[in-house]
Amino acid sequence: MHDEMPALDPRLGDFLDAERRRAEHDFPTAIVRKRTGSPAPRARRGWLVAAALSVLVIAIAAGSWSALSQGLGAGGSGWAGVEAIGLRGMPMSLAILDADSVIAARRPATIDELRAHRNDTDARRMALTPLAGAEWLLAWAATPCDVSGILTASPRVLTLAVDAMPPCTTGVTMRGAVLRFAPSIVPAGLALTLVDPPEPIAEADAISIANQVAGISDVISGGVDAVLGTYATLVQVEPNGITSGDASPAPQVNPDLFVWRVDIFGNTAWTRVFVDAFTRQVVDVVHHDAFRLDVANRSSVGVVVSVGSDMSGVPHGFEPGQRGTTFILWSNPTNGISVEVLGTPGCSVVATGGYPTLRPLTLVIEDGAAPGSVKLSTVNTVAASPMPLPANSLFCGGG
Amino acid sequence: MDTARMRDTELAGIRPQATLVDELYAHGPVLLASARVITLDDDEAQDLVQTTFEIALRRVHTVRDPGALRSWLLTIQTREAFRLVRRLRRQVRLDPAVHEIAVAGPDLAQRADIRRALANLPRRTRAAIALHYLAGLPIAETAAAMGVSENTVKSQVRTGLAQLREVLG
Repeated sequence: MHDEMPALDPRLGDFLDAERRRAEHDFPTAIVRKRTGSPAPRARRGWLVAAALSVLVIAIAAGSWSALSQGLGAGGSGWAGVEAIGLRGMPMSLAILDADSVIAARRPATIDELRAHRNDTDARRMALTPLAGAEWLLAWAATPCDVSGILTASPRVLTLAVDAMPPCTTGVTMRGAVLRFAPSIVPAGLALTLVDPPEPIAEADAISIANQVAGISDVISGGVDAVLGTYATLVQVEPNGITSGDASPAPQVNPDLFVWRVDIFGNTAWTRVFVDAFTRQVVDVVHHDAFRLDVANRSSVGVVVSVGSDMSGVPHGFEPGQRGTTFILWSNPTNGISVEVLGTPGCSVVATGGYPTLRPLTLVIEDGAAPGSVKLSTVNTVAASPMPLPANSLFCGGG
Repeated sequence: MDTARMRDTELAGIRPQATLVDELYAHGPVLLASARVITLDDDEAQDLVQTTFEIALRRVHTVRDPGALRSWLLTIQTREAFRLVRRLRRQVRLDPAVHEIAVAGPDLAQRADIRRALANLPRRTRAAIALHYLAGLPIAETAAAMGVSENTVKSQVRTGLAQLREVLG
């Protein structure tokens, strides 16, 4: 089968085998597909609401109504046979990058799928709008060309600057993530500025959108109740706010699809929302009060790892081969954590690292190029449960 | 009704849509594994598989030989993987100090070494290795999936494996 190609290094062969097994294990949950005919569990109601909200927000922001309606036609028959695939359990890549609380979105988490696969040229648009309580929805229309932007959170002002992207003529996937702010922040007190060079969204429009989204949540929630047995609902949004909402079976090609019809500002769009094709991703932006760091010393020397935050410092020794979990309190996670690795004996600093991330990490310590030196790297996963700190006599401190 | 839709309808008449989709999804694990080897990034890999399915579901009516589904899907995915590189150049890359290794375990060190070694290879070389050795495509189909000649694939694979051997010691 391998056409007289060179044999694999056994280690690479093992690696590829492991990747194959891992994918066999992960695929069913990593890539979500619609379960034909299965009704939405009641527990997903909240998710459905969030998904529907994002559909509205993104669709408004994308300004793609005409393309959608053209693509779908009156009966939506142009969508026959098309399924949407969402992602589940995928954290959105958000990171606090510096003290000014700059959040950059590289990759969206999928809340739902909404596609117009005919000449949608507005894929560059993004939207940010408050939901209820401490949550905001960051949403956008993604295509294979994708979109990018920077969300800046300075005191009392959120600024979303959208990069100008070339028009995309491929399928559009509506994506979003819910940002949850810490209790100390009152989202209602934040002003929102949208910066979109090609086609600015006026703040007044953004507020209008936000009001509509907030206002329609109950309507859609009621629709979700009705939809459980029928797999379809119809939601109507009228200009200048929500004046009516109705849940009823809608004509559809496939009985296991949700079909939403949304009328806003006199334009109509048909979308399909799939029962299992969306999930709500909550990203705690400033919600953490402790950071978890797993440490694995794979070097040949014993070291003391001192983890520091803006609030405290935690030193602990790790002999070669030892590993363990540290937790460190912090007051403002945007400041990230710093790591100092101290050699023993002598306690001189042999390596340092700074990690402006909210996600738990595994710090890997390995031998450096020079004898006795070490180098640091991080792994974006941690052990399934925290590990006890190892016992040893390594110690630095006391002046 | 346009030609594509007519074909779709005809196909749906022969094989129910659900069956077609099941057949597509049956190849999901190998797509995901290949995507991970090509991208060396779990998030990108899952995006890539998602995009592959989205494209495949739109074009499934063009498949004439169901036995060639796997190769067809891998071709879509590989082309998208190459396109993805261009797209990511325009995007913000977060926290470059964080290197992702998906699974911890007793062989973590070896896996880390191999990932590092693979990361030093061009993405196209990783794609060739993934398609040929992981997905089991013959060289001819690997070349077709990558849009290059067979000799190019052979050369990329040989060079890549030699580099890996050198790095891994």
